[in-house]
Amino acid sequence: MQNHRDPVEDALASLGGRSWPRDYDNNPLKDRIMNEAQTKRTRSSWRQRPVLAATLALVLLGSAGFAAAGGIGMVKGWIISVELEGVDGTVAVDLEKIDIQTEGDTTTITVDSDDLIIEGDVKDGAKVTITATNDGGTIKTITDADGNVLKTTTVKGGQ
Amino acid sequence: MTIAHVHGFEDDAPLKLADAEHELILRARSDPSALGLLYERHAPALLGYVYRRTGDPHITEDLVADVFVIVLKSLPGYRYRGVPIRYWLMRIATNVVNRWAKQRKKRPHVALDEAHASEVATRSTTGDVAEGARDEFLQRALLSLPPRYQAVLSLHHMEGLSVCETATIIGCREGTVRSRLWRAREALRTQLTKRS
Repeated sequence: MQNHRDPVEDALASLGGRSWPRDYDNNPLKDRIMNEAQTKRTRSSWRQRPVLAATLALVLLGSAGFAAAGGIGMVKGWIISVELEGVDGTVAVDLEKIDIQTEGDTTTITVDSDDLIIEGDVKDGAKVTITATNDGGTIKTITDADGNVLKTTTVKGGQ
Repeated sequence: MTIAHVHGFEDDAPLKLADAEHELILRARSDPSALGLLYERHAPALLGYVYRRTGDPHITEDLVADVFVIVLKSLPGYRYRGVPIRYWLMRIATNVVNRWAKQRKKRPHVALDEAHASEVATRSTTGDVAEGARDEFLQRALLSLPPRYQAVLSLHHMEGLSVCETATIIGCREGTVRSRLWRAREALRTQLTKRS
């Protein structure tokens, strides 16, 4: 009797059966990471990462918005809405890091101290709409796939 | 949106491990030796996972280094959520590899050759050319899929994680993982048929 094997199962078993071909005790890689940790103590590494222009826009506009609404001290729980190509989601952020993944497109929201930082990675040609809301008001930024800000709207709290 | 799912992760053993490792994360903020310990504990799993997704040891080391750079960046704002550190690291690794896979697709000619030349060359010297060629064929088929399909196939089928664990790492509902797995398997089947 002929044995019919599923080529997909075979492929996944073959790919999954491969082991890391080098020594796990990889000192050069570990040294590289430890050096990076050392370097990070003296400089910010954000310049090394692809960051959407929305990051800067939101931080700057956010700071201005909060100052107008009574100061940075008011920044508690953000409500973030992210829409990527018609797929959207909302999450409350309370001064901590949360990753959002929507249909394969990743948006990382980091709240570091009093600043809101949003990094995005979206499909070619996609548009992303990021709405950040807290007691101080609402910031809405629309960017294209390259991170170029197409439109930014700021509404202060109480208006 | 899946944050509630992450919050709702409940399993006593992983939580105990997470408690212990949470302390390690706190120490790593200021103690380089704790970061070194974090690396030693988790690098093997990350190297294996990323290698099985990329098929190239050089690229794997670069991407795993990127993962730990992100970890470094995230340490000050990290807050314990009861999720094992392993899953947090796997999530970062998944996002890093997905980003690499997406960028790689934009320059396929260069990336395909560079990504596999060293591995194939290594295998050729050991005489295992046929196995090397088959692995390369399969790797190309996998990498031709959308990154989100690569991720679920890798985590569930190649890393042996459950649908629940995969959903926690990717950050979506279990039903989404199941449907994505089905679509990914069909897409891989199409690629294997087209390329064979």
